Amino acid sequence: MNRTELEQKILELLTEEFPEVDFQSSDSLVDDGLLDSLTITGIIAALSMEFGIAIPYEEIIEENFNSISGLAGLVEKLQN
Amino acid sequence: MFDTLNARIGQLAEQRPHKLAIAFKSERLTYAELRQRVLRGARILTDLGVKRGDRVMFSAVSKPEMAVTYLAIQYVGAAAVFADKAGTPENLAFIYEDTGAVLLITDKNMKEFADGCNTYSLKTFYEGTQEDPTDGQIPEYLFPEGTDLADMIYTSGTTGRPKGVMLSYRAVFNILMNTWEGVGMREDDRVLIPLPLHHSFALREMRAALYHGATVILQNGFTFAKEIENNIAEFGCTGIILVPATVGTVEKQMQERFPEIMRNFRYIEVGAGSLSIAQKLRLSRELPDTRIVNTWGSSETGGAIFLDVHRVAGDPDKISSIGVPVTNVEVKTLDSEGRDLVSSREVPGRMALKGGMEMSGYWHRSELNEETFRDGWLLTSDMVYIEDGYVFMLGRIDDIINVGGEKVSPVEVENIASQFEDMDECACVGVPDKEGILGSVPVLFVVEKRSFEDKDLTRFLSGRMEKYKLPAHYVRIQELPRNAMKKVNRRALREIWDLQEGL
Repeated sequence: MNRTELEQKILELLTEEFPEVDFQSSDSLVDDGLLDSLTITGIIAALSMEFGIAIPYEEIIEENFNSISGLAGLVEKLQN
Repeated sequence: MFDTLNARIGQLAEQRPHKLAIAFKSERLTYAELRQRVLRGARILTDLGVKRGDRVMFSAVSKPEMAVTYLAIQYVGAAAVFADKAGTPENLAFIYEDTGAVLLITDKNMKEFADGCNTYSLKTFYEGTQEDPTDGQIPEYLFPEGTDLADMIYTSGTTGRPKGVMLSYRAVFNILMNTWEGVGMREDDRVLIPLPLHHSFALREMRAALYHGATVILQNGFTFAKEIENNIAEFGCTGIILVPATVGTVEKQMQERFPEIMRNFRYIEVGAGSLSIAQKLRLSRELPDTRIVNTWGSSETGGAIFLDVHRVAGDPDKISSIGVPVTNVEVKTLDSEGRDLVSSREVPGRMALKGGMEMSGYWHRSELNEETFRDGWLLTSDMVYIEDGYVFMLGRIDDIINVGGEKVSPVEVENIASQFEDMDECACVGVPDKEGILGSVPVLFVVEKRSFEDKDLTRFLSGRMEKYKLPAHYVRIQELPRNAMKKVNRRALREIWDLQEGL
């Protein structure tokens, strides 16, 4: 799928898992406090299962989690 | 004797203007810059109508603007009320109303709660502190009274609605000094704080560092172990604070590189929980040159009891301790009647502390405050014993009844029993098991609506709760003893039981 589709898929997946978070409201989801550590752990689990990827230590950094776009970039990178 | 952060930072801004005070990635403020921003922030707050004695709430984001906002609020003599940056609009609105705040500085979308709050953008506030105001003056700093309200931290505790913990300037000062001592912090430390800044632990660490001219490095969320490594590389961090759960997460993420990376720290403070014995042993083995401290603290007292993990690693008894109180903290134990108790493993007691670091009380909770303070001591809900100066934690007492190892909640028993048709009201307390087998057993004091037989009540209860929760005895009583605020007096019930048993 292309990048836009990937972002859409991730948005749908996470919105379902974490309905209380408005993933589109910010480009600094972590900085703005919209994601707490429990949610981040959950996101890692959800993405790992959905996309069959293992998110390595090196990639568990804020910039990958600050936006849907960041998450899509991460998934894309790890799928290749 | 006490001092304030603003007074001290004013001095540091002159003595060490270029020393890095606080940073988050590329956002960095020296002490001089921090001071300037605080002064300008104070001006903005004054223009917004904030007055001495007001409560001002703000989102405790993990960025330098948090410190600027915090200090600016105190500078104008208002009290700082910390909001969880990840809090829901509903939670924030509750706290706003509860404290009677005049202002909420946040960029959070308050949604349907926006109308009830006077909000101001935190981003706008911070941007406003960048430039000198073109007109008007910076307000003068009035050194507060030690008893003036400085901070309010909201804690939810184990039950009910969140409560505001009121910290006076004197308490805030003592808390930061206790942390300074307990941790062994130094002026040349650069302490990494990857924990939420609305919480007592991160706050006391930040205060201790800033007061002494050390450096605070902020980080979002402790699941980002890689960020820890990045921050070590970027800032040369010498200290870090973690909670026990994070230690595990970081270990799991860093894997075999954990010792190599974490050895960079001169000290690691673990707070807001006890490390397991296995964790203590593992850390002391893997990080031989790093000072490892496990702190017992609370929002109500700050960090008060510190365990030097290396020192006790080889002692099979002391390793399970929560440590020793710092110099200015006194700890004692009380029996269930509130009398001083010389405790031991067999005879633990309720922990009480004092030392000038304790809160003034819970905001607008006079009944709770009456129960929390006695003769100048602050009572906790923790059962401990003290041996050789070391404190050993047995857990929260509250009202849990330990029936042969099984925990029974009296409130649960009461809720069920109250539904019995002939029951007017009832109260459940734990009393010693006469047979000596179970330790404690629940006893139900009942006020009858209509006279009933024990077996009928027992049959009713048996169908609705586990066997071990069933009251061992019923005591009929005319009315339940209650205190001034109409709350059932469980202690009085236990006394009635003791009298009845001829004790």
